[in-house]
Amino acid sequence: MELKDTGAATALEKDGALTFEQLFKSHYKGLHAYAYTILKDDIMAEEMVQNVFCKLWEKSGDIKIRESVSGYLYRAVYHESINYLRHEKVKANHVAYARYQQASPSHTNAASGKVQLRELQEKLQAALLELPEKCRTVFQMSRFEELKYQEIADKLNISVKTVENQMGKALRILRHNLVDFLPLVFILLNTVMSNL
Amino acid sequence: MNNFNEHINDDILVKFMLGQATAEEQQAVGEWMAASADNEKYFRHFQLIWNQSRELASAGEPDENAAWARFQQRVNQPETKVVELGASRKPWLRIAAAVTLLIVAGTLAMFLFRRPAPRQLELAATTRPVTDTLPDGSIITLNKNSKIVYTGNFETNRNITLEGEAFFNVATDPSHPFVLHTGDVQVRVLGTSFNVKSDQQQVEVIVETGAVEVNKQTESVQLRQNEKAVAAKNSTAIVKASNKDELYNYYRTQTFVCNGTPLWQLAEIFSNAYGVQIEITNPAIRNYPISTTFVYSTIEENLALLEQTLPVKADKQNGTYILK
Repeated sequence: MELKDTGAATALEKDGALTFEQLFKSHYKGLHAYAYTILKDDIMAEEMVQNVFCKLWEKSGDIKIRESVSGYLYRAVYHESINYLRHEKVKANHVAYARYQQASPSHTNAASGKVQLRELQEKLQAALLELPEKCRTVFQMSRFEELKYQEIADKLNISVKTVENQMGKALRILRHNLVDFLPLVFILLNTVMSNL
Repeated sequence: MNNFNEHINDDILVKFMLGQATAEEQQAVGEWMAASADNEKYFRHFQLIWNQSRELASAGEPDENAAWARFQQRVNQPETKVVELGASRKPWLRIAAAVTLLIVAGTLAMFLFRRPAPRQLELAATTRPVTDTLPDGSIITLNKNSKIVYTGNFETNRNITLEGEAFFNVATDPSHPFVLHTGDVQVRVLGTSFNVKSDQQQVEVIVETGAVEVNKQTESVQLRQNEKAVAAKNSTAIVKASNKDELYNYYRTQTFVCNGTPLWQLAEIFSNAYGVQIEITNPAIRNYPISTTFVYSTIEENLALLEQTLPVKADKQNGTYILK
């Protein structure tokens, strides 16, 4: 497949002369991981990433990417996933799924500890959704792609100082939203560890 | 959040946690933590959140090459849409027709359906397969003796009920999920093409391109290209398997493509397709593999070709075809 000679193509070339295929393949894993942490569904995560690239492909004539392409893609995947999640039906399914997960029986201490840990995961998941987009994207790259501050700054075309700010902000907001739940988890973590 | 008299900057604390702090910053954090138990606890909260959030990642390893292939398939698909090509040729004619149709349908609807609820629309195939386009642009081929029911507001409410067998080529629209209901099975579709066959015993779903999710009560499986799922009426389980077979497609392609297909399976498809009884009296030939392509014409022509290619004799007795 040849890359069309369009606005996006020139924007892409500025970013290091990438073909559309290279752009897709080099960003796929990171973007998929991003959508997954929001949606918790592998196939839907792929759908979100595919949608974003599809729109980029179709609108490549009139889209003008002024910042880095990575920044654009991460932001687009974030919004695509959040929009999808907001759809009422999906929300309902999500709740039903969470209830179904929680309803599974657990009798031993270790097992109930695991249920509590899963609850922490769910609260964390919800708390992550509260982060503003930029903050969330920086956190995503640091946590799930394990990039250094400098690498994140280069990818998003922002300063290292901004990455530091956003990471500090992310942890501060997450802690604020989870703080009531955390002391309980400390106790549980200890019981789970000693029972394992 | 600054509850401490001399609270350290969160940015530096996170940098420290990630091992990216300078020597100076490391020292500052060390001193701050040593100053009070609350400070240390604050840092341990950060650590716990950081470590636990790792678990939210997907366990699966996504394959970017396979995803790229699916992407190419997707961006090339819309060009084959018959509806849109036809539309661009004579737009004025289409608009005029649409306006006339709207007026006629509107007047008719006012007289016939004075109900506030959205109308139920039905598409049925009786003696032969039917291909049609749904309001959202999805293309459907109904096998004979099959029907679908959907509501008048289909573009925003893509729920559809199927009896019998149909092939769907679903238009992509992530904000309006396409959900097919048949018996107690639901198929949630994510922009794709797939075949569903529903009868007294089971529901069978075969995916041709893209991906679907099949649900029955609490069970749920996700299917990709060349995979199929079978949900039996008397069981809650959904069984997933790979599918290399193209025979299911006969009513859409008008050909029976056999690829090492056992004779009994072809006989079953023939009897469905032509509405006739076929019996295999000789057990030795039941599993005979067939690799011939038959045109969907008449049962007599198909059986004649079968006789030529295989050491099989077909006779008609009391309206039933006997193979031996």
